[in-house]
Amino acid sequence: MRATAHTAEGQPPGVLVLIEPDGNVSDALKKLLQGFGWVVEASPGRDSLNQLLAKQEVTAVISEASVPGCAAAEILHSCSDQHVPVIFTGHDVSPQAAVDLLQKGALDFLEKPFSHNRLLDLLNQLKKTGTMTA
Amino acid sequence: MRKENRVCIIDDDEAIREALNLLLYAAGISSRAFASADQFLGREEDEEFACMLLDIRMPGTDGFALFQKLIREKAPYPIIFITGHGDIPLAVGAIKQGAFDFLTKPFQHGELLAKVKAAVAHYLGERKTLLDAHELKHRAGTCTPRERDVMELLVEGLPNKKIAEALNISPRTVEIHRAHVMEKMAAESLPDLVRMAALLRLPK
Amino acid sequence: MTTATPEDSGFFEALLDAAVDAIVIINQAGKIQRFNRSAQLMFGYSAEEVLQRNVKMLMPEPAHSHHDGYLSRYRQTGQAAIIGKGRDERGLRKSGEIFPMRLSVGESRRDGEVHFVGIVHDLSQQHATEAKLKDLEQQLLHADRLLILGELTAGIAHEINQPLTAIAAYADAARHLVEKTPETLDPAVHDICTRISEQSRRAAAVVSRLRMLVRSGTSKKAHHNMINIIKNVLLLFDFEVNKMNVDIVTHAVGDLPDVYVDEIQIQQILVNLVKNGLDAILECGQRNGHIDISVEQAADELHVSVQDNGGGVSAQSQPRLFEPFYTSKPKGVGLGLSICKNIAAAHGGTLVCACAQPGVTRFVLKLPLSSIG
Repeated sequence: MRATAHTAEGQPPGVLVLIEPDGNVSDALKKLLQGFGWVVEASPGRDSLNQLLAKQEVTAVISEASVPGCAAAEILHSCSDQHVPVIFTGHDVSPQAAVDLLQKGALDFLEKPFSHNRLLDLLNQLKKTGTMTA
Repeated sequence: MRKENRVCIIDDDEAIREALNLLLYAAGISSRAFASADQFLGREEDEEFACMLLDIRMPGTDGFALFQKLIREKAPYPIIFITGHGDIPLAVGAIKQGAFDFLTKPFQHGELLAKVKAAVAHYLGERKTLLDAHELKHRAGTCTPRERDVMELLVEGLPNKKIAEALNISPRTVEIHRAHVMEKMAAESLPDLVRMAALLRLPK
Repeated sequence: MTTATPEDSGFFEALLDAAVDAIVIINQAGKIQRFNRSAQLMFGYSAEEVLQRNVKMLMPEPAHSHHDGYLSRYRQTGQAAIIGKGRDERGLRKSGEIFPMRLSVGESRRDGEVHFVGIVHDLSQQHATEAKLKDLEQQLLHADRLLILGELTAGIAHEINQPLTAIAAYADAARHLVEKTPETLDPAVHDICTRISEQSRRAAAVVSRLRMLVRSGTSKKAHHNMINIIKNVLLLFDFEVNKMNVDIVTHAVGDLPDVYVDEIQIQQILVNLVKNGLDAILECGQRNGHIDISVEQAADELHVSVQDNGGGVSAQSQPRLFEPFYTSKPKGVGLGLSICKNIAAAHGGTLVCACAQPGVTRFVLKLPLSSIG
C-alpha cells in the first residue's frame, strides 16, 4: 500500500494510467486529473502499461487511439485481462474505428478536444460503482 | 429466401433503399424497405425482422428518435445505423445506447453485408437461446412440484439415495420421479438436464 | 479598281483574291496599288477606299507616323528592317480596332519601278487562344494549390486538435484550482479560465467546419436546414467580418422546410456569394458594409437571397456574370459563379443575379423542394 494523499471525501485516490504520446496533451490532462484528486501514471506504451496494471489497482486507463507502435486493440487486450476499463481519446480517427473499439469492449471514445466534464463524470462513476457502467 | 432472415431498411433516399434491397437480395437475404420512421411505425404487416438498417437523418421522426424508442421497447432485432453524417460522438452514443453497429456512407458493400450477416447471426443465436429457455420453462411447468424438487437435487449431483433422504421419500419413488422428469424435459442424459436447468435459471 | 497590264490582269487578280492572307501592294511612295479581297475583309475597307492612299492608314501609332520615314530611309540607304523578313506588327482596321498581325514584306523591281508586297496574317484568333491557354494554366495552378491546401487542411486540422485539447485541459485544470481556493486569487482568473475553455471549443468548431468543407468525395445528398448551412458558412468569415466591420444578417421568412441537397456543395455556393459580397464592399470602399441573407419558401422552391451594398454590378457586367473566366477582380479567376450556377443546376435549381437597385448586388439561389422523402 503506498502512502497516498486523500481527496476531499477522505477516500484514497483512484489511480489512472494515461497513455498519450503528445507531451503537451499528456501534461495538461495529468494536471487536470490530479486537480480532481486522481493519481495519474503516464505510460508510453504497452510494456509499461502491463507493469503498471500488475503492481496496483487501476481504476481506468485513458488512452489515445493512435499510439505509434502500439495498436489500440492491444491496449484493450492488456486491460481486459486485468478487468480494467479503457477510455479512448482520438484526434485523427474515423467513426468506424471508434465504433470498432467500443464493440471490442472499450468503455467510451472521446473525440478531441473533448468535454472534461464528461470524462470526469465517467471516472467518478467508475470510482463509485467500481464497474464498467456507461 | 428464409423469412426469418428478413432485414428491415429505413432510409428516406430511394436510391439507397433500392441499392440495399438489391444487395441483400443478391446475398440471399430478404428485406423490406420503408421511406421513413413513420411509415415503418404505421406498417400493417407485423412481420418478424432479424436486423434493421436505419438512417439517422430523415424528415419526420428522425432515425435516432426511432432508435431510442425501439431500444426502450426492447425490440429484439439488432439495429445497424447507416448514415451519411458520420461524426464520432454520434457513433459512440449510438453504440453505447445499444446499437449493434454503425456505418457511414458511402460504405463498402462487402462491409455492409458482413455486418448484416453478423447481426442476423447474433439475432438468431439470441433468439434460439430465448426459445430454448421459453420451451424449457414450459416443459418444467408440466412437472409436478415433487418432480421439480427431484430435478433440483439431481442437477446438483446428488445420487438417488441422498435425494430420497433429503425429500423423505423412498429411493424407488425418486426413480419414478426421475424418469418422469427426464421424459417431460426431453433430456437425453443427466448432463443434458444440467444444461437445461442452467438455462432455466437465466434472468429473463 | 485595277491598274494592271491588260494581258495578265484577269489571271493574277484572281490569284490575289484567292489568297487566304491579306495582300497589300504599295509603290515606293507608300501608296497602295493593290488591296486583295482578304485585305478588304481584314481591314474593313473596300478597294476604292484605299487605293492610291498611303499605306500608313492601315497602321496605328507609332508605326503610322514613322512609316514614311522608314520608306525614305530605305530608298536612300537600302537598309530595311523588314524586307525579306516577317514581323509581328499591329494593324488598324477601319472600325478603329487595333489587332495583332504578322507582316512579311517582299520587294519587286521592274522597269525601274519598285513595289513592295506585304502579306498580312491576322493573329487575333491565335492570340486569343494563347491568352485563354495561359488563363487555363493559371486556373490549373490555382486549383492545384487549392487541392493541396485541401489536403493540407485535413492534416492541419488534426494537428490543431492536439494543442486545442491541451489548452482546454489546462484551462479546466486552472479553473478547478481556482474554485478550490477562491479567496486567495483575483476573481477575474476564474472568468478568464472559463473564457479560455470557450475559445478553444470555438476554435475546434472552426476546424470541424473547415474539415467538412474540404472533404472530397462523391456528392452526398441529405436533408438539411438551410439556416444551419448558412450558419456554418458564416463561421468561416468571422475574421473578415470583424476586421472589416461588416454586418452579416441572416433571417428566415416564415417556416422553412428542409432541403434535400449536398451540404458541402451548397456551402460552396454560399461561400462564393458571401466572399464576393465582402470583396465588393472592400473594393468600393463601403464603410457601412452590410450583407443580408434571407431564406424563404416560394411555392415549391426554397429561395436564398444574398445581398450586399458593395457598389452593385454594372449594366455591361450583368449578363456576363456567370460566364466562365469573366471577372472584374484584378486577381480574379472568374470561375466561382459559373461553378456555383452549375451546382445549382445539378440540384435542379438556379442561381440568378437580381440586380435591380444601383449600389446593391443581390444573388438568389433557388432550390427545388423535392417530394423525395
